[in-house]
Amino acid sequence: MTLIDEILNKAKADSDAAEVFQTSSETTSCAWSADKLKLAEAKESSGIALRVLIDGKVGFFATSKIDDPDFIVKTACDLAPLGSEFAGELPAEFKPADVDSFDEDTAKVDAGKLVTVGNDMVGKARDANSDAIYDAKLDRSVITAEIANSNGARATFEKTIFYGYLYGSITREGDVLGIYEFDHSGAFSSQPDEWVDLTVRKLKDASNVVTIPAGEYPCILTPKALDILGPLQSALNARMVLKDMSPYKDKVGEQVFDPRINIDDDGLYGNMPGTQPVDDEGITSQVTPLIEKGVLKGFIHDLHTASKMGVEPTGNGMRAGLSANPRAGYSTLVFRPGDKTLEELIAGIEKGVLVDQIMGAHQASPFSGDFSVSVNLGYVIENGKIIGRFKDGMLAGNVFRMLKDQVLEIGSELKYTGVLAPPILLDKMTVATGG
Amino acid sequence: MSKEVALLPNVRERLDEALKTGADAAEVEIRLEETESTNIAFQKDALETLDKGVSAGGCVRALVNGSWGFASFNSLENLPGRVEQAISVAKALGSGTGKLFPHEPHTDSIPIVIKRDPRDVPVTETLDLIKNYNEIMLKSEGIVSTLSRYMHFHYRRIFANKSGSFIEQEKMRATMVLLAMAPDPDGMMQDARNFASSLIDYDVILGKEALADEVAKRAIEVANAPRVKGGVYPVIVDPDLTGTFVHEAFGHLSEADFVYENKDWQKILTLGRKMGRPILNITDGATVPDQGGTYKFDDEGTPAQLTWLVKDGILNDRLHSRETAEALGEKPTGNARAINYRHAPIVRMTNTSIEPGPNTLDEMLADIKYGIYAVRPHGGQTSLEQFTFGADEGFEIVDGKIGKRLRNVSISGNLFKTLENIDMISDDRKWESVGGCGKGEQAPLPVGTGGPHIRIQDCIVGGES
Repeated sequence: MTLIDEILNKAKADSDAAEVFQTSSETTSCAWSADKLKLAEAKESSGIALRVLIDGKVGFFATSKIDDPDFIVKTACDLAPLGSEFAGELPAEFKPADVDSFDEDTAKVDAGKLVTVGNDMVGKARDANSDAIYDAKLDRSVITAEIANSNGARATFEKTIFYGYLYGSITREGDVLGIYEFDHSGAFSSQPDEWVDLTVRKLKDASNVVTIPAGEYPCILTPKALDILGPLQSALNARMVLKDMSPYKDKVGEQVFDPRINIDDDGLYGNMPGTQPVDDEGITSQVTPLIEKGVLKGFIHDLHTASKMGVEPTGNGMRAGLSANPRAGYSTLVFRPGDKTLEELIAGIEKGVLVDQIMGAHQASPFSGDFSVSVNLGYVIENGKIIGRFKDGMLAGNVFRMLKDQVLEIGSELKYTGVLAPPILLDKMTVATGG
Repeated sequence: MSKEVALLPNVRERLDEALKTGADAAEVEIRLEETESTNIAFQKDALETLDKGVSAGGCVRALVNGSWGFASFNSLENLPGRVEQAISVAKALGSGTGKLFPHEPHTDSIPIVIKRDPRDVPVTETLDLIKNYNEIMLKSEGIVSTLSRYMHFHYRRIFANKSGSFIEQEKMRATMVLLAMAPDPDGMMQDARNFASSLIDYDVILGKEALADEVAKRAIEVANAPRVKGGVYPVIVDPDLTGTFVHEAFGHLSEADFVYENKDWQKILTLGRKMGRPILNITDGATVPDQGGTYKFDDEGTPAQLTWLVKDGILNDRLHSRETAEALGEKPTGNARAINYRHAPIVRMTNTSIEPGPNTLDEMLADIKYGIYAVRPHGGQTSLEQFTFGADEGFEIVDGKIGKRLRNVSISGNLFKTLENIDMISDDRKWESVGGCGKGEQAPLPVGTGGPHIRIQDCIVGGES
């Protein structure tokens, strides 16, 4: 009998229903610092989480110590009478979607391969611009997960995840410039070459420092600068809606954003880190429309919220780590692209700014959408061309108002930075500067 | 689970045995760790989260031919095999330039002295307590939702290295965060929050009814407060926020791991360089008692110390691991830290503070015609030369008096200019340890932040015009 069966059998005796989630991962990574290869890592991780339901309440316990099934079952069952409400029902069957979440070649990558690719990347970057010093990381993981419940449903899946970055910096007294390019993906392919091209080009664009007076400007936010979308993610999550923490509680069917805005959660998007055949509760992954032509269509759900709100679950029951209960979370939040390239967006601006790196997104209010962030890498655009980089600027506004009233254009090139989004051109964004 | 259960029977013998496998390596370190955690959250009218977890595992780090190899794992079987694995991945890198400051071995076991241990408190007692605070906020007029969270962790770590150290340490923290939410005139959700946290005593969260009441009342005030206007102002930073300011604005720049291989940074950060006015003193030290970054030995087995980073306005020292100290010809400061066994230690702050100065808050206020008073931290970030941090509460200062509330106060600046612009420092230092620091992939690492009131001239405050 497997450990999962043993725990389920024991838990069944003391609860109304039970669910076991077992996962293991294996990671290989290499890191470069100041142009030099520094560290190689081999990481293994495994653990098990048990959720039991007793009289509609949840008992939950997670551990990496799998040698004592009785203790795991007892801990979860003892907590259940005190636990939170669970309105749903564990499904009797899982129906995995057909998705690209496992890449054979990525799974085969070892430390030797990472060393070769990374040394080549850092070497190319140095050849192209030797004024800069480069840090880098390449990291690939293989994750396996098995989920089973006492109603007889069971599924297993494998995922590959690639994460890496190249950071080029030029340090001078009074002016430190740092540019990073990164990818978080389901597969490792030609990302390092793309980072070299982008980093080298951006270091060149940024070499000229210009000033811009404080004021309101048309502003392009690149996907890297879209960390400020956190409050939007919170507002479209049923967990927040149920607790009156979302401004969109009673607004399904209403025009909440500019009609050019289309947003969905795409659990089927190939080779994304959040893509898997079923969610962490076993519900089939799917595409869930959230905003269509600016109209609010719905929210992301887990089993509990779907039951509470009388809708179908959306395959978004996610675990934020092994030791967390499944709660509604995004697989891949996709901001659907428009048709103008970044170059065309820039070409259309008479006087404005392009913001590519921000700092301080998490110091904004997580709910109201108000933000006031530091511009870490921003350029001034004049007559359709980037004329140089501006320093010590801050960008302020409100995410919800921005997407409703300030959208000028949506760009075409998608990039995953936690959400999958294109560059967005916004009108009248407030820039504060020291100059 | 009994608290006395050893991570591993005969642990010292087994670690010594495993370390023998590392004959090829200049240094081998093994860390074993067991952590237990509890998370509770009430959201609006009901319990939302009651999660318990236990995690146990270990890691090996080895320096071979100047390159580092690292292996982490959950199963504590076959430690010699894990040492071999770390050595083998290090060898995949070929030869490198890493060298270590010599290690003086220590054998020590350091239990923490806990006043009331959260692991001894029945879950029902904590649930009742947090539920009560949550209801106080929810019943308050105008509050539409609440989030009341409690979490504690406790860990035990064992460290052993080839140089002969064997060190056992433990740490715990109990934290409560109360948040209340009210809609602003546009229907957007504004919130206010406050917290209580201790490294030694569960009882820090008792008797916080007045705090819950204050958070709820403040949420209503915030919802109706005007947004700050962006601009350049004199800013007075309160003691709770000064610690976050110095952590972000200066602390990260004192971490030697980005300096030791970078000649450009070495030129800029030459010890003896002027950083600020003579009133400015900045320290970091894990020896400050009972704060987030307190410990006796870091994760390389180096003893903790208090490091004077800036003394009388002059750059005096920096934070080191064994490797960065050796490379720069300086001494380790006990600042190599790992968030857990899944990560190799890197240079981190511990408890960082601006030391008290000669001024008072009244003196700072006196000659300000219009400025900002920024209270308590709401996050922060740095890219070394540039930093930013948010204030949980902001007020305008008009003609020397603290006036009406403003919302969404965030400050950004150039580190060197901003430190020079600190023209007054008060003598009312406070310490805070609720915060966690992020660096690379390791967050949140418990740190302490301290400081008195400071006044900064010509600060860039973000906001709409």
